[in-house]
Amino acid sequence: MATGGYALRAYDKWQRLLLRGGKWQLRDPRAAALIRQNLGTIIDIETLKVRFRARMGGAPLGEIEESFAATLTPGDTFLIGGQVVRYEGLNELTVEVSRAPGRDPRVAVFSGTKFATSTVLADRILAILQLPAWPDLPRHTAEWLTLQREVSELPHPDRLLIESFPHDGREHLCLYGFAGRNGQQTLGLLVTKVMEERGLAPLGFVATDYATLIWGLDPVTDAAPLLDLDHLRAGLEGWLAGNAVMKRSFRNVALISGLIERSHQGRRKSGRQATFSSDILYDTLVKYDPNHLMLRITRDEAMRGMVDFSRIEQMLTRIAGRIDTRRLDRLSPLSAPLFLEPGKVPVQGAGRERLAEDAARALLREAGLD
Amino acid sequence: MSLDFFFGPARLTALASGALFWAEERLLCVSDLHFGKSERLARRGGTLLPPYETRATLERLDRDLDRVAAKVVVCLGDSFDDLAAAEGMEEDNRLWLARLMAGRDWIWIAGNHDPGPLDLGGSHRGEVARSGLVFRHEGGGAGFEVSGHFHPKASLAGRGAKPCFLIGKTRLILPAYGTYTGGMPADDRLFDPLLGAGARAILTGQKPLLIPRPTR
Repeated sequence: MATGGYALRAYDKWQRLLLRGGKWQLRDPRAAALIRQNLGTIIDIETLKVRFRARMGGAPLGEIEESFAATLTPGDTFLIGGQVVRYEGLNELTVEVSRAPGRDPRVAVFSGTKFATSTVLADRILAILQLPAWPDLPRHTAEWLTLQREVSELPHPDRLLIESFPHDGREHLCLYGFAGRNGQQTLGLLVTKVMEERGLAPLGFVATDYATLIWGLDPVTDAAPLLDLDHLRAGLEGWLAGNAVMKRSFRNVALISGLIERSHQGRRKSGRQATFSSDILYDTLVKYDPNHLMLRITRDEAMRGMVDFSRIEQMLTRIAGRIDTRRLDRLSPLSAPLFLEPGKVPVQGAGRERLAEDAARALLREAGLD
Repeated sequence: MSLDFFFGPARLTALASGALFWAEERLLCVSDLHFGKSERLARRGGTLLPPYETRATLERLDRDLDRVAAKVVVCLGDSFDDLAAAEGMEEDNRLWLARLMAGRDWIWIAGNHDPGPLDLGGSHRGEVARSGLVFRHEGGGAGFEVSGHFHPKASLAGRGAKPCFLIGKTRLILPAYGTYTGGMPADDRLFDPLLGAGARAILTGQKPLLIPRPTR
């Protein structure tokens, strides 16, 4: 912090550490509290409290993730504490809502801890899926799997099942790779990159332990060409530049190191406090200081935790090109849980541009300005 | 990528970067560059941000100037995060800026962050009128007015919040051009009296997009 990177070069008068009597000391002793609070940080999801709107502060209902709250506009409804509520506005750090029974709600998301399932467990699950019937499983699970077998098929250990279907005005592609959450996430990044190159306009994806769901504007009828191992590996080489997973890792690194701050015990974030988009900082550092310590840490973090490319290699070797693309007219039972999965990763590309242009045209037409 | 529109007597061009070009006058206008923001925050004991935003902003300005071959440049105020930031600008950035200024009629309009004259050449003005338009930092005056100050931004399905131009009948508000600049939502009621009904917005980004100004 005193000698490294840009801190010394640009701000020699404002270093964080100071050499005093042969010992390094904090320049500002008040910073010690902040650093101690950051030691051993486990990055949690920022949440906001939800209350009914009332003069003296209504009954608390629970908490929602800040990232979800940020997507709400007054009038939106969502589900919390077993009831449908209407978003009224944000008061300080509390989300104020009113009752709105009978409305069609959005689902507030909560992400739990995310550990990838091991290969052994994934193999066992795949073996179970091959059984002719599942008398040992709970009835609803057995029915769920039976339905999947009826309308599509169940994933097979030596093949890769890919489903393609329209849902809610978007085209979807679901890849059942069973490569663990991190592997499936990397698969999502790499496949959407190939899709972007081929003009298939992907908009985003989400991964679970067993599948990756990609949505976009154009249908994919033959997914096999998207899964060429060499091509995917080449994509991995270039993937460091500006992807969402890297940015998310960077955000955590930046929080722990104190580059950006979050509210701490006893300190409230006020509206006027300068907060900086970690994405902009990431882009700036990548451009001007690509070997900065923070970026090296981010890369290590991402490679260790989130990439898990070896699982994808294993999976593609195992299936050896046996890829079944099923075109369905609606979502399948096995893909349904992915729609409720938090941690959706947006793909910034031609698809989003097309969407924005359409939205702009529609707004102009509505306002009679075109 | 750019988008042409009419404002009062002028046909103007919104560039995707957030700059405004007036082809007839060969005039490029940018607002709220906030050079030296990271340096000022560091000086005041705030967060130590990567100090490259001045370079990033200069790079975009260089590209825009080159593309449109502007003869006149109007910086609509808050060009520097404060006066000390103007003095403390690094030597290579200062030379870069000097190179951009060379051979051009460069006008610094005073903003609330940089109210005094700067030791940088060019002319320093409170406001400037030109062929039927008037340029000032904070909008709200008479005439067909081009201003900055508010850093408006708006979002659209498919895109996150992006800096945007706001266009009323007699007032045009520019987005902030600086790299580390936050923003005020375009639907803020503060803009209602400034822009009047039927205002439009142009979103910056890969391609500038025209939409009706969002309202609450």
